[in-house]
Amino acid sequence: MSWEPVIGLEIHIHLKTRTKMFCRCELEYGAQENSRTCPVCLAHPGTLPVPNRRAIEMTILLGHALQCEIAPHSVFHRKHYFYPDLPKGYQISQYDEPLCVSGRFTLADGSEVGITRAHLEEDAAKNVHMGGAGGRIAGADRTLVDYNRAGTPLVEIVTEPDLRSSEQAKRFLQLLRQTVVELGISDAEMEKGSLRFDVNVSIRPEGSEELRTRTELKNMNSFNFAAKGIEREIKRQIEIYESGGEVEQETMHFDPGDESAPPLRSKEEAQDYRYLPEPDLVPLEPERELVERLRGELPELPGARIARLADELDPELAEGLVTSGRDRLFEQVPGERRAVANVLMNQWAATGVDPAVVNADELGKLIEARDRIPRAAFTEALEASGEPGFEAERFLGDGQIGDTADLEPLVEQVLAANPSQVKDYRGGKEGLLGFFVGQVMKETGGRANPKLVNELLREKLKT
Amino acid sequence: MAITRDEVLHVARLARLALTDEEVERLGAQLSAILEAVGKVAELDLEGVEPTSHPLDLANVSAGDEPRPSLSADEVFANAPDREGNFFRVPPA
Amino acid sequence: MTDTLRLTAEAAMGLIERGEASGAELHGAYLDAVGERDGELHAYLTTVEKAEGDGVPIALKDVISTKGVETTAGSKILAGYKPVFDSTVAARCKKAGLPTIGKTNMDEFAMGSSTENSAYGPSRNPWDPTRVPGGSSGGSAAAVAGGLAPWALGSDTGGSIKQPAALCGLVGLRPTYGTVSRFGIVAFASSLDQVGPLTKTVRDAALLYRIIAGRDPLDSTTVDLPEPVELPEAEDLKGLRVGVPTELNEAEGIEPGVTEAVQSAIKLCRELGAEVGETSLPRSVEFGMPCYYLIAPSEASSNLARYDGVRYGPRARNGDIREMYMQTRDEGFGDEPKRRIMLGTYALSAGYYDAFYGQAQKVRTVIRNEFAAALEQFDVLISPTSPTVAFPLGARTENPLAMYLSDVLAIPPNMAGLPGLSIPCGLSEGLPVGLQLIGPQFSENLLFRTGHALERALDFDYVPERLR
Repeated sequence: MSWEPVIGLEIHIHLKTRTKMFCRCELEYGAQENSRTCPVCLAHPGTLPVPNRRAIEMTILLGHALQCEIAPHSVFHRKHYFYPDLPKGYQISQYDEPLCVSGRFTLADGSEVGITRAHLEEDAAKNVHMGGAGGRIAGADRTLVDYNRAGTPLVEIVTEPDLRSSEQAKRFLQLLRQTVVELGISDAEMEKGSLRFDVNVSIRPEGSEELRTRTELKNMNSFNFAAKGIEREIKRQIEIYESGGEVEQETMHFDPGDESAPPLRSKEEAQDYRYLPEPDLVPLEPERELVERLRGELPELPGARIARLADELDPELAEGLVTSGRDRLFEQVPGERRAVANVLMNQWAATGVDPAVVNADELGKLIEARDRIPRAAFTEALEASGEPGFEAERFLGDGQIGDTADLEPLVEQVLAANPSQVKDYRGGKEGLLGFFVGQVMKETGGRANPKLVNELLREKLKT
Repeated sequence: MAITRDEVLHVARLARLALTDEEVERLGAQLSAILEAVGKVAELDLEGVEPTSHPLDLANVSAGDEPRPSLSADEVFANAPDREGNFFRVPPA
Repeated sequence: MTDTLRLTAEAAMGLIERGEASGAELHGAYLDAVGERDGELHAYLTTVEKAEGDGVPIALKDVISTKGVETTAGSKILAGYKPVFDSTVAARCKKAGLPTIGKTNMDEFAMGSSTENSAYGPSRNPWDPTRVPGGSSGGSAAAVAGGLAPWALGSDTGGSIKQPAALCGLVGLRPTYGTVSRFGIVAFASSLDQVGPLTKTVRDAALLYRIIAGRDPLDSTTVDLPEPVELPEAEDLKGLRVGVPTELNEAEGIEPGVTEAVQSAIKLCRELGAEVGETSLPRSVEFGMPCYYLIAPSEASSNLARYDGVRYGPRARNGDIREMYMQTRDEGFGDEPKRRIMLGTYALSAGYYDAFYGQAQKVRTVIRNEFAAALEQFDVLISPTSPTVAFPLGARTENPLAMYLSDVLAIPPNMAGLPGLSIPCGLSEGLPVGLQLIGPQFSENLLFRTGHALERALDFDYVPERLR
């Protein structure tokens, strides 16, 4: 029996606004606990939310990037549950009238993933469980609450269950992350908690259309970890079905600190959130003008750039250039496309030079001449490509170093490094001159002018 | 429309109210009577009627992304029942 | 010697302007009166010793957050809570220079019609202290009628300004929803709560409304007034079309004495030059109460979820977090909030939303449309504010539904977001009867004009007989 994974993702990203979603406390990662709070985000009696206009615009922009329909009428809802990190006893979120619906996200390999919705909500506060082992809930004797994060604008993106492999899920996350970063709406850093995701996994016989029971994987804190977790879950489900069992609806809570630890499994009762249209907020009806203006502000996104480059390059190379942030440089560097792409992704990548500071024309010249100069010289030149005033010429031409001022110190260095050979030469072994020339050539990657080296060596060895 | 004892307990749990047996009895009976009265809304056939969520026809009220001062620590904790350092403290969650 | 019983806010302004009294002196006089008479009335929960401002002193219902001054909303769950910020209405009063006399008693979380649901004991009606002053703004009403404040602010969700005004012989305005900020008002039902004035005269109500009304950037549901507040002058009602909705005037439970006083007032309208005619609101009265008692508790169950003992208020100290929540809330909330929280939770719960809350939102549309239709033919609608005069303490406390019926006439216009002005129109068995004037949204000026003309013609003495 051939099985096909059915995977969906739910991603939360923090929006990079200055202030919170429903109050104007200034956001600052790492600020002292409870120093970025006010009566509104502390849910003092009588306080009321006022939405952040910039967060709304960022969400519409994201909606465009995900090719969503921007809802003409959208409403906030209250989602109720009790937990110390939820000061109002409800989260202001969106329920059945979200801001963005029915989109799609195209990956580098051309596969399309449906986007069910993207909506706006506020983040909860941060709980620190104290007294137990390693900050975990089990065994804690008290919980400390920091409300700095409470009220941070969040966008929740929900995909259709269109992903068919852990690898594809990983690539989706990577491309989505890059997209939101390039849009300037989020830093999307997992370590800082500005990107979080949950995965829904089920399987079905290949070719069938059915949707079987799915499990939810939560708390995986890297894309690689997620891919592994998904793989393991797929295998687990296959084993269950193949041994005649049924997969139960469960949630797997992973341990972000220990990738290999088996997840805590819970059958969470369907929570009754008692959704209520938020009476303190009026509906969003984004004006046509605004929606179109924001659409016009979309830069060419990574997905589109990969597709475009894949016309002239192998798709994997195209994807690599875009996801590594080197495609803009690629477009500026003249020369044969494949060659330039290859060098940028390999030898040039190894240098760690910042693409933003490179003189593209000079780099192009260098790449064109790469077969005509020694490898070491090429590497050295690449390493220098980020320096101000970088000129390929310096490393090319006949490639020779013909300046006494350049060679003299090298000659002296070689002689100083080989005192016994110097003694022997001066003692009559004039054949050793070749040895010394060889050493100097070695030091200069073969680029020294041999005649000049000879002359300098003879002069210095005379003494 | 009577509300059963189980339903009263369920709703009390959802609302985080620790009712005594006496309260479950008494409030439950009162709730049944009230539910009976409010259940009257079901008598109207309102197919196709739009719900009123807001008395005024407002839309798109929002504020610019400009910071306002946050509270000082003294203000934040002025009414706090329990504090540890700069945190609010509660029993383990 | 200030006659605190008779002094209107407008007259007080005159004294201050002419230098005959300072705001601080008046503040002192009212505090003295409180010392003398509030033992009996229990209108106040907190008094403010220092007069901050040189204008006409004011009493504020304890649902209104006041910085540094205890604000309990009549509940034990906020005992000792001192806000670190001012509500917008308190800030606007401060800005207008009005010194706070104190915070007045109220039904817990504004849920009630008599102040008997206050966790701190009921207030009493200055006309007859064995009777209720109405609620939930009963403390504010008792204070103004009892000469313990020249004017006061209350809040109205299901009639909580209008009804106590009626029962205490005062003027009470429930403004158009959205014209007065709710920021800092301890929330009960967000789509219904409005703060408004309780005063001795219609002009005083207009003066106070002018101070507090207008859009607030901290409250997304507020708007600016389409026209400035006008102080009424005219003493006739020429050109006014007054509608008398049958269902509001003939509902079950209206006492004959109330009907008589209201009928006289309607006759007076004609004499003052108004065109009076009958109209109908076929379903608004019958379905107004059930609609209200689904929507308000649903929103309340949500608004009261934040009272958990984590960040403010008393906390039950035992057990894990879940137990803490449950004990704190059970100990802190009285019966009426508990009833409404449970009712609301039920109405919003999975499987019941459409039949209850969802259906009630549709009923609200029906009510809105009925009032709109009636107000196409008439400028103002008229009815009793309360079916009865003030009832004795304890008379309705055993039966929640009986208590709810106190607001059967005040509730329907609230569901439509419409403003309502209650003015005293006579006595029945020696107790005040209130007349409810209902207009379209933003028609406060018209209501003030109508109310003022009637007030001048009626010449009702707002000082309780036993205190004169």
